[in-house]
Amino acid sequence: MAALIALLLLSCGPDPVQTKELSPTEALRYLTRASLDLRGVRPSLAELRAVQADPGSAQSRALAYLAQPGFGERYAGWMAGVWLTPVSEIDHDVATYPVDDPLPMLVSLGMEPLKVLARVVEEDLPYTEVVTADWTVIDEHLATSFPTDYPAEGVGWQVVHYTDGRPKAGVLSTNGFWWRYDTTLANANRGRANAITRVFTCHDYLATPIEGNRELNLLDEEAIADALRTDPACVACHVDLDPIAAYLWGFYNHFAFSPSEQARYHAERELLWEQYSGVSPGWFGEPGSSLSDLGVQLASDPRFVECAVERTMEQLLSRPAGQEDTAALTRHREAFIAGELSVRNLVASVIADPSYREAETRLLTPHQLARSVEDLTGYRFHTDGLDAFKADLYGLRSLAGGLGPSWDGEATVEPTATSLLVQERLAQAAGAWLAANDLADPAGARLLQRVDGSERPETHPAEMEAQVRDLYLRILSRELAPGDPLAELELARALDLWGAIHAATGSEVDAWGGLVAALLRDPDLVLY
Amino acid sequence: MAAPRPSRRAVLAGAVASAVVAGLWPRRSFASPGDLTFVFVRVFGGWDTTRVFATVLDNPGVDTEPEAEVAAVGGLSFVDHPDRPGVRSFFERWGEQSLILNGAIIPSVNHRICERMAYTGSQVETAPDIPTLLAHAQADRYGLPHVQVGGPAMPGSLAQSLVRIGGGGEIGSILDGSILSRSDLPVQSPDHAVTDLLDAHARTGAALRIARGRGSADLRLARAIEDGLAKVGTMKELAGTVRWDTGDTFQGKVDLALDLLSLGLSRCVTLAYESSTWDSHEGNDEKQMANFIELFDGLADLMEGLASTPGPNGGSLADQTVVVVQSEMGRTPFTNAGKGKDHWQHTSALLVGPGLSGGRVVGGFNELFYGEKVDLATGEVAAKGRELTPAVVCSTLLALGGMEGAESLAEWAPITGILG
Repeated sequence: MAALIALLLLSCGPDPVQTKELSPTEALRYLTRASLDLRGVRPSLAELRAVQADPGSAQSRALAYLAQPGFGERYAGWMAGVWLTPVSEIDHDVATYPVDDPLPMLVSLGMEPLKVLARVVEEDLPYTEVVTADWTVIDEHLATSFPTDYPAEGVGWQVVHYTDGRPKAGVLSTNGFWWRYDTTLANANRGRANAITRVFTCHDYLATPIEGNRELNLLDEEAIADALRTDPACVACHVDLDPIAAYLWGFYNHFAFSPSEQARYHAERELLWEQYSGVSPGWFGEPGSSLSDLGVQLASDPRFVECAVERTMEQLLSRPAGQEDTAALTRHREAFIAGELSVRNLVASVIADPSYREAETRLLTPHQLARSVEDLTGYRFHTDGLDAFKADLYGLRSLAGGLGPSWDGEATVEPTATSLLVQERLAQAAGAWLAANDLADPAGARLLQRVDGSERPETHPAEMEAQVRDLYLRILSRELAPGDPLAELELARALDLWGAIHAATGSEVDAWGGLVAALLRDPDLVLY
Repeated sequence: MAAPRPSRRAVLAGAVASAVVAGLWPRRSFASPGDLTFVFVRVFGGWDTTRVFATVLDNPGVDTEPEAEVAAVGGLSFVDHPDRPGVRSFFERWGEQSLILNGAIIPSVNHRICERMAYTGSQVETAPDIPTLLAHAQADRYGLPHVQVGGPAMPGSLAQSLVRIGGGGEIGSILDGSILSRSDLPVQSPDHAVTDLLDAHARTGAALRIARGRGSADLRLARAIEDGLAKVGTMKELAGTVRWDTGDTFQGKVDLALDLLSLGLSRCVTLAYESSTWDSHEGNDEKQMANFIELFDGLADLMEGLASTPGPNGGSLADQTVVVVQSEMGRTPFTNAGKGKDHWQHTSALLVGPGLSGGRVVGGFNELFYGEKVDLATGEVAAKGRELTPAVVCSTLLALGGMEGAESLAEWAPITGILG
């Protein structure tokens, strides 16, 4: 089945580049990387053992992950570091909204655009839907204030339509995107226009230093307006940004603390560009009149597809794209187009490429860490119902490493003292939770499937060792092969630790919980 | 409710007083540049320099406050306002050691990019910020060379010299494990004996992982884990001594800075002064007024704390510590339709402490509220001088700390005329 799905996915694109066969160790690493990238969790024991037995099956198994439910969410998770919408602080005052606790609303707000992206990917819709769709995805927290057809008693994320007559332009029509990227009268949506070009065409005008004319009197509004039209230093950016900005006046808010003002689209303000910039709506020379036109124009621009390819490759290879990637980018773009802009096809092309299997080691994002530990142990750090890894202000996301890298010039992400502290506490909690539950219910055990708590190294050495070997393979994708001196050293370290904790506490639950916690702190859990 | 913890500052202040009485603590004029430590206070959002630093009340193109007046303490002039008495009292107390840098130019109007340029002196995304550079230069002397409390971190390739903790005080509960009690799923943190075993196991595991390293990135990440675990160990050892739990207050951050500096743990501490209202696109007067009142109250606490806390090498922390107060941008001279002020590329900075020719204002603003050029050799305004670019300001801070160059800077051009 896996091979069939892989065949289907790759049949839409060019032939994959031929690569050398993987060793069992390389195959384990490749499958683990693909699983963490595409599913956010580590491979199962069965998958790992199957790849150990047949390293040549690693790629087809990895490609099969693409067909699993949840891939859309995972892909959107990668783009969170680029879109930067899930922030915990925005200028708008959500505390004025009619909700008991504004924090869940704030967390959901940043997710709205990413949920749109996730659905496009999950349902294999053409990628252009991201900026042309006539629907959005919101949950009950946003539904309390947003004018949509969300069901009255609904719960959870649902596909809905705005009902305030706003133009249909995918994420460009969502409150979540424009609350995150706010504007002022003086800025006249130019920052928002740059958000569009940065996210969707990979061009960030703000990354260019301003070479301002020091003779220009910035206290003189007429002089400024004239400079924007005639001064080469100004025109270079404003000739592009101002027409895009002119599309966005329907999302301008006069007051940042009025729910009715913020949540609703203002068609009556669409022509405010006449007053504040005098530049009519357009996309790089092509005129338009409504936000829907902008979505169509953006979707038709070759840079829209090229940027998606570039961003996707950068995220999966954990580095910025460079000149040396030109051929690979071309291959991936062709696969993307041949697959009718299905993101699955694009990602299939990237992970089948030699550059993916040879990519340098990378660090788990906080989201991946929390999700993979939950998958392994059943433990997730929620406090008062809020996921601690989804919020900065009241959670642990920032200390654990933040939203994740964008790779478009950001500093390389490294483990830090605080990220290791967060990992340590998560490991302790998850280890304790896992051991208590697994030993209490052996039939439903997640990890401790070869022991019931009665074993000791001196009485059941074979069972204990087999359990430890399973833990290493499942949690760290490492085989402790009999006869390998380094593996024997690891095995001895693990059993020594189990014994030392048991001697200190007299508790089998503590001993197994401590051992699992130790493995969840191992560098191989976060480096992959 | 738990009893309030005894104030470490009070204890340390008592120690200082006793030492002075006993004649055991010789006061020093100031430390040599290489021995200087730093507290960086970053005001995020963009401050309106006309409220305190830019004495441009006679410029008709600049909207200022009705009751504001220009005041002076020695050679240092500033904007005084009857509703901000804390500013006057601050300069009366610390004016001789204070230097106002006016007219610094940050060539962008984007917060993120301005932060990068203002704090690193470069537009390169991977450039380290100044406190990290200063700390890294003496990383062998300090267990936690640069500690940043809140705000975005910019360590570049020198991440091993930075410990960034949240601005909300979470780190204390993570360090002592009590954070696990907040979990919706009931779990208990292991006892100390087990924690020690796990910590030792983690350190050995990190060393073994380096031995199995493959490729440069892999090795770099593995070494970062080993280094990070060592810093975690230091932080845990001092969990009962250092006030890690800053709460959500500036005072809490100041207390942490004093502890880190007095114990000789850090060369640089960066404190984020975060308030969403600094970015006052609407209601500028009210927001900037409230923020500057609070900021100078906080700075006064910081300076008093430095003066009353012994340094690790004798003298008080004030004798060895430079306080650098910056914001990533300024605000437009004119008020917009919402009675706010928008982003402006010309701003100011405040430096207080040893190693400076204090009691003066360097730079200025012209009639368009652009920054004036400055003769770097004298610090005086000069038509043929240099603009106070991010590289110039950052070079100056590095030179103040005894450094003679930095590859990451756009250029090396310190204002030597202000170095004492």
